[in-house]
Amino acid sequence: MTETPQPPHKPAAAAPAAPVGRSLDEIRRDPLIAGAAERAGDAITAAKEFAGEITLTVDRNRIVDVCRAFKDDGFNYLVDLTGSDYSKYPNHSGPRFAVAYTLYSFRKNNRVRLKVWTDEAVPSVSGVWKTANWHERETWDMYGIRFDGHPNLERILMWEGFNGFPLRKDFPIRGIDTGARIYPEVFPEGGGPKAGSTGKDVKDVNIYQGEWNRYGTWPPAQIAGGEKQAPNPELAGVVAETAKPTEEAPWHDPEKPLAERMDLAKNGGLKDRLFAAMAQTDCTACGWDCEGYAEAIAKGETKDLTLCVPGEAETESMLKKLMGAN
Amino acid sequence: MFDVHEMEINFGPQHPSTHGVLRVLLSVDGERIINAKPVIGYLHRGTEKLFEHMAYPQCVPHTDRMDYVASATNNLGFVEAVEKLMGVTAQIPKRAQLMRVILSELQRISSHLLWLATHAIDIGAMTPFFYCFREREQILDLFENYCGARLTLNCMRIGGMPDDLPPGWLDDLEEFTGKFDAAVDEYESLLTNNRIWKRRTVGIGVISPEEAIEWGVTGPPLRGSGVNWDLRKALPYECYSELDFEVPLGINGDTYDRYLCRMAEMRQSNRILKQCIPMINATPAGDIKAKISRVVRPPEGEVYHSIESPKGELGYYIIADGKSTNAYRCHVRPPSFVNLQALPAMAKGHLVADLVALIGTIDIVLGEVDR
Repeated sequence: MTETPQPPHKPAAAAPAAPVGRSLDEIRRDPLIAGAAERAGDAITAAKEFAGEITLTVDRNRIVDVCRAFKDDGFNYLVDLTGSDYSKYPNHSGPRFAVAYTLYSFRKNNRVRLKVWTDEAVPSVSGVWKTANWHERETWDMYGIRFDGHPNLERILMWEGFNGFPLRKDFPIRGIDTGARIYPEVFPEGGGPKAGSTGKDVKDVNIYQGEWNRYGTWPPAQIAGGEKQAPNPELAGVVAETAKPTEEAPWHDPEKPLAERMDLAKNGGLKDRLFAAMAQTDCTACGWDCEGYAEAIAKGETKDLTLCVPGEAETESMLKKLMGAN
Repeated sequence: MFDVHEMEINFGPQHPSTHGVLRVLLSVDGERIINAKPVIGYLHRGTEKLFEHMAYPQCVPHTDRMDYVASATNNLGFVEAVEKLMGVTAQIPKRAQLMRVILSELQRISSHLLWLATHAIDIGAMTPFFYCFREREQILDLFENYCGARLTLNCMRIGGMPDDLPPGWLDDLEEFTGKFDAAVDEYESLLTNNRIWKRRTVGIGVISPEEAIEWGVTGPPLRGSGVNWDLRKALPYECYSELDFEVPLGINGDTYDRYLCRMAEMRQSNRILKQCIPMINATPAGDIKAKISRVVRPPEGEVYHSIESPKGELGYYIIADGKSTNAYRCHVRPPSFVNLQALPAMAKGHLVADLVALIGTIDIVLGEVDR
């Protein structure tokens, strides 16, 4: 055994509460990171403190050098590496994804977190710590953030050929139908979307047009006449160009809250009121645009009131209320 | 000249010794492993995605389902991370802290007992299984008496504990701790000096301390290599700094040393439990919850908090946006996932039969690996 790290046997003395809002320069001089921060130089662009933890924002292109500097300064254990999608973060501007590296130093018995911002790719640190290999694969798998220079950037939790990145904020929580034949007795040959397709094109989806009432609601609606398209949950939340208020439908505006929309439609017929309850995004995840879905419900073509994914619970409960009141 | 016949075979995912649904792609030359590639994800349930869509208190039962043989420690890590995010860690009453320590140490023992039982049965020793499950049953009974569940406990809440200990529970615990040391002696009498056991474990899967740190290995596999690091000592949480216990270390970093480490850890856990009983009797009954808001809405910020779970460092990385009652992002750093990554390095050059011992010695739970 050589050079075993020697952690303190006594618990580390409680650090004096760091004053709120230390500046970048003050944090850089913190004894915990001073040595590494000096070597990293201006690659560290910002610093933040919260709950006694230091988070350093690092220039994406220099992350490998910075990690090496920290490793040489004693942070030889990469605790964790993970991504996050800031696309729905309140008041966020700038790159969509962040990758957070949590490092630990046995000698200093403390952690520091490095963070890089990116829109698609980050240099891989699997050459610095071997343990980064699986963490980076997981981050790629879940967010689609590419790690340049990674020896085998494959999917790890999802299967190879899976279409989508599950932890992205625009991936629907109920999942997407991948065409895996879970119920062969009801999913006949060719039923369900094609595995490995992009899912963007209607032709990628083979819709089984038989009886669909034994296992849940896929495909979500029976094929209705007119404008009906294949339902595509991947589209949920996309705001179409047609989603603008018109003279006939002043409530057709995704920015307006539900109460205001219902108020605008209060003198209209049942179809108009149903229409106003939709999310107004015209995303076609349900298979119609918002007006088409309202019409289908009003005419009794579909009885399923749960198809409006972007409208969430409030749309669903409003639809139920309207149909119940009718 | 002899031709080298390399062959690729699948080990798992339905192999009984993979403790779940782990698949290892083996390249073998005869019986000798040239390369081993773990393939995981069969038990992926999207726990992290679910966390983003439910309020913080609703997440606690989902943490149970990750490492389902050590759910109390999973609860502990999550509620502590949220408490750290809210800045209320110091307000947790002493009684609640001690109850958390007692439940996690019982959980550590029960997790190690399950590990020992299955590890021994994998290697071919049948008897320890029955001995281990005898004691594990008593621990599960204790859990059942406290919270009604035996496996997925859901036994901690943000800010404290759901309920006080039922009457007589501490007496049962005292009876258990009194008998448990002798039980460990019994297990050791079956294995520690057993010649077959030693032939199967000594020198198998050696990992050096530097390698272990490089691979991010934590918990008993790290300490088996002689690295003196235990989060309960290094960065103590709850009231571990007031408790007297030692961190057992191995020397050679092989399967046998990791076995010895875990056996000694069970004794140390029992020692902690014994100290907790008089301490908890000295605290006022019913003082189990901090006075925090019922709606958990932490300020904007991000924290990483980790605890020493039976398998290693279990960490939660939570990002809160300050406006929502849901976590904006909650990442779990599971010890099994990271430890499993070192399997190919440990398995290289060993026999296929040793792979079974190695999977056992890393002590993985696939629910936690795949989340």
